[in-house]
Amino acid sequence: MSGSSRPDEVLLRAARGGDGEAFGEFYRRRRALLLGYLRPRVPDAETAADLMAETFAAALLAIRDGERATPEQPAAWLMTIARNKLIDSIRRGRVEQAARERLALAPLEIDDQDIERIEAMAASTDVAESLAELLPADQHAALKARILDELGYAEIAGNLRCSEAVVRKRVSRALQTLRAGLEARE
Amino acid sequence: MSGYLDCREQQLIEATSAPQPGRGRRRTRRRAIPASTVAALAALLVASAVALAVTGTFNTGSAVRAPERPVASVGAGVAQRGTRLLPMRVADPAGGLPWGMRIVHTTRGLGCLQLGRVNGAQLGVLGQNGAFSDDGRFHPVAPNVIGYHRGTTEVSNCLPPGQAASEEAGIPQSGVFGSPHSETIPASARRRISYGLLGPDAVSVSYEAAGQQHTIPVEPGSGAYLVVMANLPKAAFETGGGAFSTNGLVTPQGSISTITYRMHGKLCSESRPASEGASTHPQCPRLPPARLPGTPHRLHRPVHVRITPNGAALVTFTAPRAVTSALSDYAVEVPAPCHKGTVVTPVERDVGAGEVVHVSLPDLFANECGSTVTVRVVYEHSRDQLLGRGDVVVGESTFAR
Repeated sequence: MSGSSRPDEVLLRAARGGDGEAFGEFYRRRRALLLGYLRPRVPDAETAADLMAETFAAALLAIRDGERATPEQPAAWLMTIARNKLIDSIRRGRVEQAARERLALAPLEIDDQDIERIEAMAASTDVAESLAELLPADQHAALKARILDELGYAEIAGNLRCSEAVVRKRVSRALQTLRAGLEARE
Repeated sequence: MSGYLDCREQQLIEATSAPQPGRGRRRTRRRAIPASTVAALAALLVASAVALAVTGTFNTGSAVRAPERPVASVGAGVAQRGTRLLPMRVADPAGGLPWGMRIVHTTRGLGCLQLGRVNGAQLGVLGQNGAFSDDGRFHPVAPNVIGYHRGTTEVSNCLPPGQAASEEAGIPQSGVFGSPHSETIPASARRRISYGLLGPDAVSVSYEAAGQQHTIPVEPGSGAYLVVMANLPKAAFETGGGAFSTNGLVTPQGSISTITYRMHGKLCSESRPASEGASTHPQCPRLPPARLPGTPHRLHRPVHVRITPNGAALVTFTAPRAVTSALSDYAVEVPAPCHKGTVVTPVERDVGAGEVVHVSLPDLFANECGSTVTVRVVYEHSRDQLLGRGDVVVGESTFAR
């Protein structure tokens, strides 16, 4: 974390009130987490950066929507948006830019220096460690094995010495936790 | 502020503070709008567009990209740390977004000057005068769009370290250099741009516009300056001239009448010959010309030429010295005696000492007028525009047709 010690949820509440610097701080604090998650799952740094930008834009639109509650666990909520954007992009074969368009965020050029910075940021971010801050230990172990290590349920069950059904339940609960605060109204 | 991640942050900060955008999924019942209201709205839109142009907030279009992905070790290289948009802003004679300049420091040791219109913290060009389908939008230009890319971007020049330059060009007010339909651009949409990097000793430049003499300070440190004028009647369009110097003193040309320097604590000036607005300061003391780096010896290596199945000639040699920047290079020369010239194909990339280099010449015999063709590999140990190329022959091979 960098900048002030204001918790994420305080920053997002301030951003809802139009405090741009607060959202900027949230962005600086959490962009490495998103890049660390996205970069290994897409072919290049440009796509990871594109997805990250679309995720933050979607998050900002959600925050500015006064009808929604602000998320209780903003980092987990942000990861869920990123995951949805990633799945969408794989399904459509391109990164959506609807949120950026609604916010009139101009396209930005990425040069080699940016790519190096993104690669370095992604490589130095331990997403598993970041998730560990957000989840109970058993759910974290199951989710890490399933989502980050991409293991099968049977293999995870063997490693964690529990039944496959238990693993499925833990992964499901972990995802529910990550979705906490994100009300699917889109 | 520079770099993709920082610019995104700035965008998000501004978007957070900006008024709420319209909510796409809320629908209202449509009603017929009276014609008078439509006319009033149209007038309001035009007025808003003018207001946006004046206040400097502009709709942004697609970013201008380099025609080919730039590579750090090839050509001019890519932008690296130190690249910055200069703080100067120069008004356009017709208003709208101001003009500005960016200095791009590249991985291959060059300093490139880019100029264009400035929107917030971005440098770019405008979709007008036939560019970008006349969409009226601002199109940001990335630092890596370096060089003259006809029809796609603005003027930029790359200089070796320590070299000073003053240039002038006629371009459309859009900032797009090399418009394919330049002859159709009206005189009112043409601009005469004078710009340069004069080095740390430069203090100011003087120029004449509309019969008046003007003097403006240059940017301290870099000596950067930018003057934007309405195009002069009958002035050459999309042509320019330049003056370069390796000793820090540039002789003014074109619209610039005088360049004032501070040397050893005293002001002095370089004036255009027979300039009406010449400075009253004494002429600057002459500095000794910069010297060509010492000529390297013992570079001779065999050069092999092979004709490939597709008819191209493949020239192969082992590089005796490393090339680590754009300031030196290898090149393949094919003299064309009947045309009193030489066809030069530069390698234009970093090369390791001892590396086997292959250069493909697609049309070796294009200018051939005898039974043999000579292929020569040279090492250009200085590619300074003023000092010459400093060629040393690595080797040559005579090839019978």
